[in-house]
Amino acid sequence: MKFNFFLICQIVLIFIWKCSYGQLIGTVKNNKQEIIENASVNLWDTENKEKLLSFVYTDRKGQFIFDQQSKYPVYLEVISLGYEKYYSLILSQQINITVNLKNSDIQLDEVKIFVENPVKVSNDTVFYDPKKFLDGTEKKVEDLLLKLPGISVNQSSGEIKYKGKSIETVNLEGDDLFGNSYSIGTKNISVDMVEEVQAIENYSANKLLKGIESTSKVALNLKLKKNKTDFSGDVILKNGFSNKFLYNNESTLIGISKKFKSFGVVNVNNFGTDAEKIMSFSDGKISYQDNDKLSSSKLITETSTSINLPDNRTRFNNTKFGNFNVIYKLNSKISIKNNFFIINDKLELDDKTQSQFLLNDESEIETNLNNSIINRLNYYRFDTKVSYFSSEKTQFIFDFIVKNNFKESNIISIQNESNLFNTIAKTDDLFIKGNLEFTYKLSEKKAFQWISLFSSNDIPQNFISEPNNSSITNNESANSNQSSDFNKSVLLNKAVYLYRFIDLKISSSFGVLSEKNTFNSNLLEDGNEALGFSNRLIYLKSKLFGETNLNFKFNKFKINTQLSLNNLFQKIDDKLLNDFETENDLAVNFNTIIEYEVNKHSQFYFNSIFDNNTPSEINLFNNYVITNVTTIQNSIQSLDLISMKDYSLGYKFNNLFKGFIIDLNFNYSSYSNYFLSNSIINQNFTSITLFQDSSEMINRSYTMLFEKQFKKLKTSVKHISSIAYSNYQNAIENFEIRENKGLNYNGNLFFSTYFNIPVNFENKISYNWFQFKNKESNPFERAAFNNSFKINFRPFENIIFSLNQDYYIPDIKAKTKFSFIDFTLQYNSKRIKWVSFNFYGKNLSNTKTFKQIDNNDFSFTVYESNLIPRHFLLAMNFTF
Amino acid sequence: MKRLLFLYTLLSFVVGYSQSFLKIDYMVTINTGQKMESTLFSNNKESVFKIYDNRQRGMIDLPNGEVSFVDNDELSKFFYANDTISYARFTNYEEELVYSDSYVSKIKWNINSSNKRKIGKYECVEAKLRLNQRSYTVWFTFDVPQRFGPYKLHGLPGMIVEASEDTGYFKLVLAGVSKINDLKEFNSYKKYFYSKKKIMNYKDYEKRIIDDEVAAQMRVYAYNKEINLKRGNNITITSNFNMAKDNYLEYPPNLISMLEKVPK
Repeated sequence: MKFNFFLICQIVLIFIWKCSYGQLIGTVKNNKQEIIENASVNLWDTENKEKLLSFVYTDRKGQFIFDQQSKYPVYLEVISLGYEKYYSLILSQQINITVNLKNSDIQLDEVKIFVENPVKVSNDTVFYDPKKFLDGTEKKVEDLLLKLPGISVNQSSGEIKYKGKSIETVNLEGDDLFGNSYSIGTKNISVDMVEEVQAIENYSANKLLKGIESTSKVALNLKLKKNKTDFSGDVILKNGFSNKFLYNNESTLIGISKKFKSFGVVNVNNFGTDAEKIMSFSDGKISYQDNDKLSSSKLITETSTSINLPDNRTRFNNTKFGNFNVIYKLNSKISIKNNFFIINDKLELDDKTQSQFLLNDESEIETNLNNSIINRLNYYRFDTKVSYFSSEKTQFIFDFIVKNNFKESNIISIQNESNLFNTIAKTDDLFIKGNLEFTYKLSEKKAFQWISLFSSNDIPQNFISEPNNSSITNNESANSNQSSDFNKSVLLNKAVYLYRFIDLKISSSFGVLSEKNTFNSNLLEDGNEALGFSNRLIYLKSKLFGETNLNFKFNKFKINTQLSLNNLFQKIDDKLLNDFETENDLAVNFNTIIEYEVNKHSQFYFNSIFDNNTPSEINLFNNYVITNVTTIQNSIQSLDLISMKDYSLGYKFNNLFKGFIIDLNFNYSSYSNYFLSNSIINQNFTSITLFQDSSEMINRSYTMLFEKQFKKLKTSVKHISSIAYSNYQNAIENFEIRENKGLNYNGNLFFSTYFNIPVNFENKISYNWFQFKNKESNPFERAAFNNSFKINFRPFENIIFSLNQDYYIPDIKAKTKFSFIDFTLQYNSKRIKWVSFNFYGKNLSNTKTFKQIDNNDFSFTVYESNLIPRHFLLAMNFTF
Repeated sequence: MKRLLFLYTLLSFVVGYSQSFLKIDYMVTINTGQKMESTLFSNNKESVFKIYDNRQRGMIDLPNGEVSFVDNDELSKFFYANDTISYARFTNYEEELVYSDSYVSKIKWNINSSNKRKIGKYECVEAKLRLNQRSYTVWFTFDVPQRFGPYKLHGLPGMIVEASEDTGYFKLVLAGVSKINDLKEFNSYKKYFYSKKKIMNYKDYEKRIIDDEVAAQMRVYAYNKEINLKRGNNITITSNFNMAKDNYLEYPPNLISMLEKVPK
């Protein structure tokens, strides 16, 4: 009986338990009574979904089973894509629930859920995603860089700046393939190859010095698309016609493997390229070692004024350009980098210069010069760099550069519509530089470096004129030959000790620099040496120096100071006069930069420089040199040191994400013993004499830059303004110092639309206003205006039609206007990805000449040059 | 009979793939700080997770200036899972490792439904998991029912929007989700596992990892001895064995103790 009682109790208890802890079974169907598989079924404890009790997915039969649901009531939630959510209260166990889901209007389509920020920041590196900035019209990496916030590109020289600071190099997949000739890469690598652009701050080229050296250098790194990291490249055939057949054909090749990286480009064209400009920025970089100039000087000018229009509007050249760069890693210790450049060019140009000079006695002189110019250029340069890690702590880097630049300029000039000259200017510039750098990393915080450098630069020049400009020497001759030869050789040895202590970075260096300059010049008229036109000088300079650089952070302050003590010895030996002069000085140079970081976007800075430097060799020759058919130049020799005190105070605000940049700067500088120019001007030539002025000259300038991108109404608006005020000095005729004031406002307003329709617009307005004032004359004023308007029409994904108009007014008062209309039709085949086509119509308004106006406090010059008339081009771009 | 079997196979193939596939893209940040894209293909019955790691094998400079070694090849890393088993493929010391894991019984999510956070347009809930020596924190959404996740993070009631391994082995965030019809890529990775003749089970995988790491450690010691002999030094290497774990998503629990036993 007892047994039966307990049995009944157990059965009752199990029944009760089963009622409250039982199964929950159901089927999920849609409104057509079709089963829904893989719906998510969730059991919640409360209506507010505070605790998830259990969850399952429906099986192939649309069924769900919760086996041992321990608590009731529960809330049942059923979710499936394409259906509305189901939510219901379940009071007790059920084994046959049917859940009917209603169709939902909200479908999961091709929707990007998060818009990836196009710019990302991690430590010292900013990552740009090119896809977010491209509109399909960009061809080369430079076109992309122009659109990235914080990066600016000088399209003429190729120089790239990041947050206003000139970058050190552009790495390719982490390797410095191009060195200082990085613009070759950015101007020629196809934008389609690039996966990501990285901007790296605090960049150390020497890996052993990472974290030890105080560096404010910036570099870019191009990360290539995966399928572009073997052998790839493109061939662009761009041909067309104007008043003659036009061609611009180019081929590039990138090769990347574990052992080597290489990039090569070959370009052959007969219009639109300034071949020398391609290399000018890089050549400028190799001409200096820190603040010491390694390149020599030249006086004779081969070319005339350059016009401020893009080269593809102005130049009929004949260029063959080749470049090959390779880094080869022999093993984990040795890598070799070679860069080879070759340019052959012939440029034909007609120009006309009309000048008006206002002299001290308020008299005016007007001159004009018509030139018919043929320039020839032969340029070779070879760079090699060997890096050898002899151990994990020691590295040897050997750099060697040889460059030869031969230029010949044949000009037929008509001066003042009466004097005809046939002139040839020749320059043969040979530059050699060798640099050995040894680095020994003593510990994680200490390193030692030894640097030895040798350079030599010889620049013989000739200027031949038939007949001579007789008013210069007062001798008439059938021909004259002015020779000029500057030669400079430099030897530098220095030891550097680098040390880091927490946030304090110290580098101390000690070294010797020896420099020898020679200058020989003479003028032969009909084979006879002209008096007063010969120079034979040897200028020696040696510098024994010790430098200390401190860099540290203190709260929000960042301080960098550099102190250098220089024992300077100068000797100038005039071989014509058999006379020499020496000078021995102790020069203290001091440079401090203090930055106060207000927040991560803005900072105040103060920069002070005390600098004493020796004069340049170009200021040390007494007798005249003819530099072109209408100019002669000499100097009043002096070895006195040039002193400079310079103070800058400024504020910078830089928010890349919001496209907002402000840069305010006030600069005060004073000079003594600065070389000024005294110009004596007459109808037939200008004589320039450089002379040292011992009185203190004071300059002040204020600049303001404001850039803001507004992204409202699918339109991006960017505005940049800069105002600069400066004092400067010069002399006309009588060596009396003229105090001048210059004021310049430059305003740029750029807008572009990115509507979700096939038509979009771009417009850029530039306004430039100058004013020059002095006591001697009335103020000179000029305002220039430029507007560029572009329509992009993209009826289909693979076709883009662009029409643009460039409108120039060089001088608003003169009301001279120039207009250029161009179009581009771009077609990319959807099926055949390796070829694309572009059809160009350029200068449709057929503007044949352009006038450029330049002025300063005493001259007003109108420069007129011929242009490439209306032309049409078809480009085929093959990628592989 | 053969025809019937063929028809059945064909039918199951069609039915199997009639379920629509989602392509869920994630941006992965790995322990070196590098970012890479990845995609989860899933129809809620099976899934493929592919990491688009384009790095070449060898030493690389990291954006932060440090140097790291990358073990990778063209196929790089990918995973396949169905409702019972998961497969993974990657390279280790220049050799391919392909292994399986019956993961279902191992995965026990701890869903903290009171911990909610809105990520993008999704209301997300936190969940934590301890699996094969690693701990994960994920944020998932109930709005998109998705039982498969990236790597082996399967079995949640919704799509993972953000996930991270607690020691920083990886962090991933959802970049986008879309429906796809083109299953070429999914099939190629799935087929890769199905056509593999030899796939290690998880125990064999653990043994293999220990063998590889112990061999590598022995090489380090031998090299050090050789250098000491050559230079007359007596330098003893102290290795940070924890770094060995950084190479693997999953590693055996006794990895460190085995490395410590390697004779110097």
